[in-house]
Amino acid sequence: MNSLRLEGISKRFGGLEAVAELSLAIERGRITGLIGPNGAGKTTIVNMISGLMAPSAGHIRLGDDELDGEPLYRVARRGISRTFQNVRLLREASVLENIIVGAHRHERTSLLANTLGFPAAWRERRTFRERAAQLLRRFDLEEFAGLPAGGLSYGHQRLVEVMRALAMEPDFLLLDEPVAGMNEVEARRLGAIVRDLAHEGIGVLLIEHNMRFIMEFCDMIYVIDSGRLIAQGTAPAISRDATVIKAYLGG
Amino acid sequence: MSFILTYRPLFDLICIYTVLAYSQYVALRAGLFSLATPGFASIGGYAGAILLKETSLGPVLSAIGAILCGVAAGLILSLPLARLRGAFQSIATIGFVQIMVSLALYAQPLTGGPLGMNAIPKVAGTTVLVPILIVLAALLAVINRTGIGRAFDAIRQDYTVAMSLGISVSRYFRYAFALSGAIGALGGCLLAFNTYSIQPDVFGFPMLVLVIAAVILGGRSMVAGPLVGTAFLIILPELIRPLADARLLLQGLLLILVIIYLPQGIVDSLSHRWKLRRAGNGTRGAEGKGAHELPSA
Repeated sequence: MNSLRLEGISKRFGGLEAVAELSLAIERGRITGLIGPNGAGKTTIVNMISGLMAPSAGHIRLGDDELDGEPLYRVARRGISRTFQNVRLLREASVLENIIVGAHRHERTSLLANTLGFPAAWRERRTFRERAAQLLRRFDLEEFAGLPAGGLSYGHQRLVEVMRALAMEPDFLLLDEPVAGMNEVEARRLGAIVRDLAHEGIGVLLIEHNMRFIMEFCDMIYVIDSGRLIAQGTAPAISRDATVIKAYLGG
Repeated sequence: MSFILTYRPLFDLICIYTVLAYSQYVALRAGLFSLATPGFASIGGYAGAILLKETSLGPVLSAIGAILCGVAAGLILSLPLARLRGAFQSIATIGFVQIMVSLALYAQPLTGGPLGMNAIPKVAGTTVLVPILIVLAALLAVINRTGIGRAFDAIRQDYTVAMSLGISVSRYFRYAFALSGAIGALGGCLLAFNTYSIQPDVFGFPMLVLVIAAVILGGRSMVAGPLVGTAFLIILPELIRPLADARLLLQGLLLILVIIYLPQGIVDSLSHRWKLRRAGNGTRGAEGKGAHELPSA
């Protein structure tokens, strides 16, 4: 399962073609960037990969397996984790609980063990709490562990969502505009963490319309406009590409 | 002493209706808009009473039989309803309650029809009810803390996020229906085993309003919530005697006031306030550091 591939996928909403015959590959251990102006179809692509929407045509493959048509929770259980463009935390729950719930796919105890409180259920709870505490240390947010997630600043809420996605210990991580609403310092710090994650073997899809951020952190960049792929390549190649400059950088 | 004896039936009633409120609580906690509790209670009440009177199973096995009937009803109900959401679940479960009331009315040879079942031996007194309530509350507290509680919280607060974390929502809905069915049937069975007689209209609209009001008034997330809510709703009309006739009116008014002023219910609102106050004292120094920029690693 070293790659996640989209092969000629399209998505039509009625007469509107949001994504048209798009192919791209996300490799483990690398950061793949997907960039395009608002309304270019970036979030639609993430929604299709994660199983929230079914593609109208084309295939999504994880290694040799086809993913298209699999429901959301099954895609997640196979190790593909995502964040949302408009942060979606469990606002009533504490930061720590928000992260722990991400570990769901690693639960091994039965419903019965969890209902009756068998020792295995408590052991699992302790393991998950420790993992969540490690993530909080990595992001240097330990002091917020007990606070209700809904009360945090927007930038911190985004980080909690990334931590929740990481608690899944995914093979692939889809980040939908992770630095929107963050200042330069916060963004660069998150970028550095994402780079470390790629070094650890996670395949990252980074969706942004912040060109500078994408250029700095991505190994491979796909540029889309109106649902179509208009360029692909490394950062230096993209910054020289005439079509991209015309469509996106505005001359 | 005479005071306690006088109010003992009231105390029993609080225990029984708290069990029923827990059936509703489990459903709401899981993000299930089920209003099926009186239906489950009806199944449990009649099943328990029939088993106790017509067979030689004895009270414990009869109660277990009643609970199993409740689980079966919950699972059957979940087949069509685990895929529905929100208002559709509510409407369908109200239909289920209506069907159960009609069944009790028309299956006269089995249920005694409109006159109900009478002369049920009183096998569940205070000394039986209290331990059952304690064990049940402990069980729910465990569920809240383990993986099931986490999954319930995620589903209730954001269905899509729960799915995106790998949680099979329909699996947990089935589980919640079964659990709500088991607890509801237990409550109905205890009602039959405590009050000598049951009639179809016991398991109708007033019970539905009472259990929902108890959970909303008391609180939807902590286990103590439904207990406080039930006690409040049962004791209040007794304290203010002239209001006893206007019980439903009073419940309705209370519900509206609570939703406006204590939207999380009595217990949860108080605990939330307490937590915030504690957090406010503990992290005031950290706030300035964390609010605007990320502390560097």
